[in-house]
Amino acid sequence: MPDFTTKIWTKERIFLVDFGRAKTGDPHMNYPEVDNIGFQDDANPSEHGRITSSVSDFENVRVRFFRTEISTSARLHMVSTNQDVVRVTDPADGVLQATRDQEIRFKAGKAGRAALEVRYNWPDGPAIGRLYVQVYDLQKIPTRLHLVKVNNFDHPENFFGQACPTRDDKVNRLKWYINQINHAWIPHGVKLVAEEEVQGSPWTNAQIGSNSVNPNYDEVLMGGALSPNRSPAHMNVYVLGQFNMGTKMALGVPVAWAKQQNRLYPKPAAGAAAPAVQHVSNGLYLRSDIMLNPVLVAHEVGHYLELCKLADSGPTAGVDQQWHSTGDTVGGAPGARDDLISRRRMMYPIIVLNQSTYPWRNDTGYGKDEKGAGKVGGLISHRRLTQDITMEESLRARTTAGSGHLFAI
Amino acid sequence: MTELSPQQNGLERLILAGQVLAARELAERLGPVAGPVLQHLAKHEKSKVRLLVLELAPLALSVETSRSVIALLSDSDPTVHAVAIAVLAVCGQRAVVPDLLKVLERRPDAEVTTAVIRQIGIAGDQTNIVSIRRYRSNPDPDIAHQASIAMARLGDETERDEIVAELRSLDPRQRVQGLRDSQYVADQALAAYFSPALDDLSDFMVITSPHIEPVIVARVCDIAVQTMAYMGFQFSFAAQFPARRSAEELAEARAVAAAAARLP
Repeated sequence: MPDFTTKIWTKERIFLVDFGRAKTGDPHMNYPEVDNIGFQDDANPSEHGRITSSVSDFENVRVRFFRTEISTSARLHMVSTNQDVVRVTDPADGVLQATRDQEIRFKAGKAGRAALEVRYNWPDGPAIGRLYVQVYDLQKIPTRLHLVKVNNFDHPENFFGQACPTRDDKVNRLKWYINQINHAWIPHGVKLVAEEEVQGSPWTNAQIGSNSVNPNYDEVLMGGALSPNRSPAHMNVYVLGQFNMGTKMALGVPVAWAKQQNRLYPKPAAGAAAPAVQHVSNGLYLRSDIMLNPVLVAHEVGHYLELCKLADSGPTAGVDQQWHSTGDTVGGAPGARDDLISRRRMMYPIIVLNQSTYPWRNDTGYGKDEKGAGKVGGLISHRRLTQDITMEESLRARTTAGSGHLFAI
Repeated sequence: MTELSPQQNGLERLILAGQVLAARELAERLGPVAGPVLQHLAKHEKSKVRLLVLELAPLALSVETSRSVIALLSDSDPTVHAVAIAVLAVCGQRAVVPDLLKVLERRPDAEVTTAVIRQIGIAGDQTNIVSIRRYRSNPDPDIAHQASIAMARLGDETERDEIVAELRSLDPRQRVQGLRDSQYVADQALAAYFSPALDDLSDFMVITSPHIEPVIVARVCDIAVQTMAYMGFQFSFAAQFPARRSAEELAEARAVAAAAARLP
C-alpha cells in the first residue's frame, strides 16, 4: 500500500512534508520563521523549498516538521547536507517520530547555506522534502538610546505602558525593547547592541526651532539631526515623551531617504555656504506615552535597514519605491497584496492589518495585543524574485547593516 | 607625536576609559586642539576606541582630525570603515586634499571612491580638477557623475554647463538631478537657471514617511524651492522643510531666482 494516492501530473507538485515556525506568539531567536513565500529563487535557481535562518554557533534552534501527505508509519530521516553549517540535535539519530508533526532542533555552525533533507526509509534514501537553512555571521549594530526631554517636557511615569518611576526603570524598559527587537532580527544576523551609556538629550528651540513640547514631524526630524550627543557611529534611538505626527507611534528613518529628503541641519544661513558639518535626520523615533508592541519597533528598524525599497542611484537615489510588503507603491493602494502569508510579514503595515473586521485575518500566529488587535508578524523574506522588489529582505537588511548607508554624521 | 598638553592628556584618558559624554564635552571645548589626540588614537588596537575617535571628529574639526578619519577609511573593522565613510564630511581643509588623493591611488571600492571625490570637490581648488578628471569616464555611473559635479564645483566650466543642461532638460528626473547637483556645487548663480524647475508642476516623490496620512507628493517645483533654501537663499517661509508649496510661495521663489539671474 503506497503512503499516498494523489496523482502527480507533470507540472504539479505535492508536498509530502512541510516545515513551519515552532511556536506562536512574539518572535523568538530560537524559533525563527520559516519562509514559505515562494518556490522560485532567482538568486539560487537550483533551490526549491522552505527556508529559515540563524546565526553562527547558535544552539537549540527549533522548527516544526509536518507530515502533510505521508503516513506516520513511513520511516523518515532528517539529514543535513552540510554538518559544518547545520547539525540536527533532536532527534539526535535523525529518525523522525511516527507522529503527524514534531519539533526539530538544530545547531547552526559556520556561516553558509545548507539543507535539512527529509529522506525516505534510509538516511541515504530518496529526499522527499527539505528545509534550507541560511546561517549568517552576526553583525552588531551599535545603538545609542536617547531619553529626550523636549523643551523640558519629560517622560510619563507610565513609560511604554509600564510603571517606570525612575530613570533606571526607564532605561531598563528601553533595553527590554532592544532585546525584544533582537529576537526578530538575530535570526537574520543583525543585532542591536545598546551601549551602556544612555544619553540625556535635551531638545530646545535650538534643536526643533520652536518652543513646542509636542513637536510635529518636521520638528522631530530636525531635532534628531541636531540632538546633543547624536552619534555618527551608532544607530540613534530617540525616545520622546510625546510627539504630534498623526497616528505615528514610531518611525524609522533610513539614512539614504533622509538625505534624499534633504533632511540636513543646520541649513545654510542666508547668503552663506553650507556649514562645514550638516547632520542627517536618520534615526529611530519612539514615543513613550503609549504601549508599543516590540515587533512594531522591529518593523521600524526594518525601515531603517531599507526594507522599504529605496532607489539605488541617479536623481531618485534614496527615493522610496515601496514602503511595505503589501506591494504598495508609495501613495498607492496600501493593501494591494493581502493574503495569509503577506499578513505574517514583518513589513506588513499594522494599520492595514488592523483594518479588517474579520479577527481571523489579524491573528497571523503572533498573537494579539492588549486591545485584541493582531500583532505584526515576524516573517522576513529570503527568496529573490526579480519582478518583486519587496523580496529578499533578509539579505538586503544585512547588506545595509554592513554598508556606509547605516550611519550618518 | 609631540607632547600633549594636560587637557589633551585628559581627553585621551576619557576616550580610553570609554567615558563618552565627558569625552564629547571636552573635545567640543578643545575644538581643533583635540585633533592630535584623535589622530593618535585612530591607530588604537581596540575598535571601540577608534569608533569613539570618529564620533568625536565632528566636534573637533582640524587637519589632524581629518587625517584620523581618512586613515580609518581603510580600517579592517567593517563598522569602523562604514562610520569613517559617514564622517568623511569633516574633511574640509585644503591641507588634507593630498591625503584624499592618496586614498584614490589605492583604488578603494566604489562607495569610498565616490565619497572621497565628493570631499575633494568640497575641500580642493581648481588645481585638483586634473586629478579627478580621469574618474569622469569611470564605468561606474555614480563615480563618473560625482567626478563631474566635483569638477564643476572646483571651477570646470564644461561640467558646470552639464548642470545647466540638466536644469533645462524637459525630463523631470534630469531637472531634479540638476537641482541636487546645484546644491552640491553651492553656486547661487546657478539659480538663474531654475525657472524651468520652478515652473514644473509634475509630481516627483513622496515626502511623507510610512504610515503618515495623507500621503504628500512633492513636485519638481517644490524640490527646487527647498534646494534654494539649502543654497543659502532666504524666504519668508520655512523653505528648508520638504512641502507642497502654495502658489504664493512658488511666486516668491521665482522672484528670488529672477533676482539671482540679475546678479553680475
